[in-house]
Amino acid sequence: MEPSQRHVRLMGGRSNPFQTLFALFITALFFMFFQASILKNLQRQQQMLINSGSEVHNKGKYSHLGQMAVAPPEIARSVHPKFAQKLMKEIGMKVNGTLLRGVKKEHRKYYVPSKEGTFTCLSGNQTVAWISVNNDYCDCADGSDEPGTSACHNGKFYCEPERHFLPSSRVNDGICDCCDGSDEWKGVTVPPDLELPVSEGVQLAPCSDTCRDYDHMKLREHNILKEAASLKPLYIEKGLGHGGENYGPNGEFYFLTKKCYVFKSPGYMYELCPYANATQNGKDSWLIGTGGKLEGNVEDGYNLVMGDGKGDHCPQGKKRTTIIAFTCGVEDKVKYVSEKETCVYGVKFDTPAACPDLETIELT
Amino acid sequence: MFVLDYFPTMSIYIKQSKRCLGFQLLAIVFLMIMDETEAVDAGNFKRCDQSAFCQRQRNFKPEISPYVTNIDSLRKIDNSHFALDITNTQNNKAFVLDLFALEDSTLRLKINEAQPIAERYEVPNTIEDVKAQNMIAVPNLKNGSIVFHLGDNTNIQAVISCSPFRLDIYDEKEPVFSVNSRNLMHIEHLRQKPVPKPHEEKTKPEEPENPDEEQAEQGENEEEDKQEEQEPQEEEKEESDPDDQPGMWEETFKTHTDSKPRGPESIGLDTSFVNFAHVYGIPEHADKMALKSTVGSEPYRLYNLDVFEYELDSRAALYGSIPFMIGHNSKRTVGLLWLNAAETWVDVDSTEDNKGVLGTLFGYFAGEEAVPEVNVHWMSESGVIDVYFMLGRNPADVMRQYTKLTGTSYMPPMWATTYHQSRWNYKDEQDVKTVDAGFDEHDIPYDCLWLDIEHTDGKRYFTWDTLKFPDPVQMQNALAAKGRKMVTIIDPHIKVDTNYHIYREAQNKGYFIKNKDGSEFKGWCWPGDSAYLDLTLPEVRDWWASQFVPEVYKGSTLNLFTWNDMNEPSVFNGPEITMHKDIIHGAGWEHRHVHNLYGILLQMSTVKGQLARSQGNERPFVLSRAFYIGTQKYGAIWTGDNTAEWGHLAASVPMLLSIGLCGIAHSGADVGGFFKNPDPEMLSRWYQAAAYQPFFRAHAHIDTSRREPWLYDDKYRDIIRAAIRERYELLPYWYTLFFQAHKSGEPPMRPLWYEFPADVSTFDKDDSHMVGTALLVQPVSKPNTQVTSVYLPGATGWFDVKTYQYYPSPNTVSISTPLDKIAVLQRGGTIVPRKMRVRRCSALMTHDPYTLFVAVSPQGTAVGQLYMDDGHTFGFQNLKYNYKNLLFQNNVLISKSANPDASWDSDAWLERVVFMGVSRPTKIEMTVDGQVHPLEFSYESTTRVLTVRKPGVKMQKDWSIAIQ
Repeated sequence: MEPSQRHVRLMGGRSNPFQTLFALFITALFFMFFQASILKNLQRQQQMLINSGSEVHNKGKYSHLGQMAVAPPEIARSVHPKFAQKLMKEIGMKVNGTLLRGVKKEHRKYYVPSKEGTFTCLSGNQTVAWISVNNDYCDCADGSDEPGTSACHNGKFYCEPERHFLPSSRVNDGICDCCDGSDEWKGVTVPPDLELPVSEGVQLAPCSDTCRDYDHMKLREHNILKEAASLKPLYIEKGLGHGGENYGPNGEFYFLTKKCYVFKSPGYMYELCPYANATQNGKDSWLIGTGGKLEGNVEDGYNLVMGDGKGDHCPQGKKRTTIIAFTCGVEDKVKYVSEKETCVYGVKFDTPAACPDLETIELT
Repeated sequence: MFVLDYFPTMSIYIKQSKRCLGFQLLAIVFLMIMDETEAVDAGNFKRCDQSAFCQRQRNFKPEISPYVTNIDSLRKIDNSHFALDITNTQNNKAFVLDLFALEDSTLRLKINEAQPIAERYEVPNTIEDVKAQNMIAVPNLKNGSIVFHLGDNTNIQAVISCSPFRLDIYDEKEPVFSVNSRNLMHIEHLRQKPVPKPHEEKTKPEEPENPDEEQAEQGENEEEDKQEEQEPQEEEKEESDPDDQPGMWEETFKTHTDSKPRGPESIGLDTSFVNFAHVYGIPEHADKMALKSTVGSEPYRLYNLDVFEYELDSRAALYGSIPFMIGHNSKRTVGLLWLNAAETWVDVDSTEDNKGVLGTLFGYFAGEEAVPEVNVHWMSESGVIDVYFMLGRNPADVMRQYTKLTGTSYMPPMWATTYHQSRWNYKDEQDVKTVDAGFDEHDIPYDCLWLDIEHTDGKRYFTWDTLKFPDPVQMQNALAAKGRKMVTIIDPHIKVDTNYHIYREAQNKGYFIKNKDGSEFKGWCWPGDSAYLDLTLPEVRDWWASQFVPEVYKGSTLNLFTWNDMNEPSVFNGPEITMHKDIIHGAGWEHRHVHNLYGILLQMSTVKGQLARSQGNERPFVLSRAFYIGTQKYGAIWTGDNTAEWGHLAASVPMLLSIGLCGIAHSGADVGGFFKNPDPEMLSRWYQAAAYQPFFRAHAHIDTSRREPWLYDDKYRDIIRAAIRERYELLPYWYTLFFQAHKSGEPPMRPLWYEFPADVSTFDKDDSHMVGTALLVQPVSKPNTQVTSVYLPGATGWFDVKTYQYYPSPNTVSISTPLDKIAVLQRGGTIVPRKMRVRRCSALMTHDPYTLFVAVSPQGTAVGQLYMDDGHTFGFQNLKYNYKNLLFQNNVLISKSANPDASWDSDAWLERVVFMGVSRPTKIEMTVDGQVHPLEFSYESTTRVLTVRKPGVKMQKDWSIAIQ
């Protein structure tokens, strides 16, 4: 499955102004809650912060404290100056040393300190000091106290503009995983001596904001998906009376039995007739699959397993099998064929038949 | 592959030939000729009784050794080197013995023909420049012996007895080694080939070189002398000569005849390990770690071979050969290197017979109980007797001594110590991209993706199948941009094709191995007809090295590394699937003389090529299948084509232990097994085991099902992910161990007895092993194993690394090992560094924080080390590293640079310290740069585990943490 297809939703415009407002509101809320207790806790906090490791956002405020030996005493030297400036601005906004980085908006209601100054881990069965939240040290067994750092092996960072979680191992690792670069907030770079090459699709910190591109891509995908899904009823219509397991719940795959599809790969020409037969034509011609059994569902994707091909030269009495993995697309088209293991052929096949129902797309 | 089922002997030839019908037909025709009645392995490969010289040497059992020396011939060559003359009294052949005293309790014994009719082969490029030490010789005329005393190791004496010749080596007056005490020394002198003409030059070299000595021996050896002097009766003598046995001048195995132009030239020697019951080493064999007695069965064989579907519990030869043996008892460890590159068989005879060596040893141990000893009989097809004795006395001493002689391990780049993903084959760029993305999608770390032979244009190495890999640079960059690497396979057989630049160039330069008649030798391998580079020639090696710069190796980048396979060399249609022994190499030596060197020469040249392409800045990485003495200097090895069976999973431990004891630090076995399909349980257990083995790579045969971890049920995928993540967490410890191997030769993966040398019950243990000094690992190698019985040696107790449960020791305990866990325990008294933030690859973890796991001994102490550097350059050779000694005692944990001049700047900091086995403290303080800071902590009273939060100190600093 293409991962991108798991996140099909219409993206709104950039929501920065709203985010900022919301963040300010939350900050103000904290300030009110904690004004009284700050003084009382200051001494303790200072101690904690001395020992707080690499959380950069502490440093602007408490850099006067004796931390010559404590790492790192300032923003990591690898931070790009431009980025550092941005970082400092952000730090300036914070109260109480805590930024709710990596928290999904809908979850921010859980990230509120209790009267006692504690945070209840999302699992509900552990309580830690509020200052433990996003302080780059894992306290909650479920990893929920460190949504914005890499401290918990099971932590999750929410990439807001892309609306999905990243494993916390992606946070501050030097590679931009969230289109707004928010996962690389510290600006840590991969060691420059590695001289990593530049490659399309991999952006190294310091990150630039590529959410516009991301949104465009998502929108394009969404539109294609919608277009493709709008064609699905046609397939259902053609498959009337064939609903049931082997042609999909509404018989939508039945239509594919009516046609054969050709794909040219390096060295071979494949002819695929779903539910009938598949052949690989090169110097010789091999029957690489016959019949067909449909597996899977619309959420996880459908596979058509065409077994019982020619068994010559196959290991241990195996017979050639072709597995067609259907993905939602506007036309019936073979996108890729490869003998992924000896005598097993993997096919990527676009068809409206594999699309979700149009209504379900509108809902997201 | 239908042929596989019916014609197992041929399956190796055709496992790749599916799309190559012509080649397949050839293979089938060839197959018809072959004897199909024999089993796969036993049929293709020789037994001792099918090897003429092995038979001759094995049958040589004189009542008394015919080799004698005399005190008068003793010559001092220099302060550390004496020489003696030796005579074979059966035929009056003259030999020269050289005895050298080397630094660090090491002695060298060399015996060669005094005046051979042709030079005998001596192994080049293998022994490092080692210092000598002074030695004095004290002749004892009364008993006809000479005592040699070492200047620097005064406890060590070597005693040569003259008649018959024998060498005994003592440490603190106790005999340790005894040479020729079993009378098996036997050197077949070089001779002219007998021809029907009775009178020829043959006897010329046999004329006595030292008439005096000759006379001196005459009394004792009248019979032999008589024979010797009857020169005119040449023909008659040839027939009655006990040395003139079948197979001396020609030998046929299956369809192959070895012409043996030099005739017999084998050597044999018995070396006894006195007072030892356990010997180890001489890899590579799919057998137990402790060598077994070979009396009445096959000897261990050392001859680099490509063995298809090798069998377990076998002494048959495999891909690598290291004729190094270690003897160990509860108070001493010693080593013995038999320096030879030819086919070698080794008989091991363990005995408790005190009438053996000791009975003849001037009454040593007279009246005492039977003393164990291991008599080892070395038999090599050619060469000279060249033996190095290392007197230890503890395991680390022997490894230091051995690696001083043969070189310490290369320092692997960090990424090479992580997890590797391989398969025969990732099919095309799309496949590579999908697999790479799969690891990220499932949050499984990996550092390197491998491409097997199918990536090439028709098995032409250094080329690409441009239809499947149209843009290899872009493909490599896509992985490398995230810090990952790729490896391509580069084998030494070169497709015969004048349109192939490598072939054309090497042919023009005359760089291929030639037949006896001077024509180019051609053998079959993956590409079909192939020529083989003559790597014994330095100019060929240099030329090979020049092929690795990206300008020459098109489509390669500096992030592409190399895998040298099939370098035994594998020749599908050759005798025993390798090269004909009578092929002549460039320098005039036959293949028989150099065979076991071929593989290491390829790896060495490849390393040189990788060094050259980065102007010597970047550390190379080359994996080799064949190996030899000193392979550790060049890179990693793996145990070849194993099988997806529980037995092979279990066998990986003793195999890798033996390899490690012979100096190779970086070794592994294909995870999951190369042949056949592992069930998900087996695969999960294999990952758990291999995560604690030095070289960690999953690999599979082209006919197997795909095995990427996410293709299994989530349960198994998660277990595999957890195992790989465990490896990544432990990288700081592994990297430290590799640095220590680089410095002092200690194998990262080592047997229990290495750490507990006095504990006799560990001497045979090879189902568990140590990683460094701290971790004991016992993989699960049987299905449905819920509980593992683990022997825990030593008196300092052990902590389960997952549950922190404490086990007092020594003891055998039952440890719960459900599917997601194997027994891994940290020894009380040790400190293990980890990085608990596992990223998608190691490069992205460079500056991540450390956690120290301090397992406190009952005495309240613990020690450990941590090594850090940039992970990929040679900067560490210029003091760009941090090497911290970690010590916990008197409730203070101290980190101090072992070498204050060394420094590598890193942001990595100390995230956490976990103390196991301590009481609840009241206060914890850290001291750095003279400043004291209190630290937060938590305490778990049931497990007695104290976790110190965020000390925050930069790891490269010196600091201390006091617990009050």
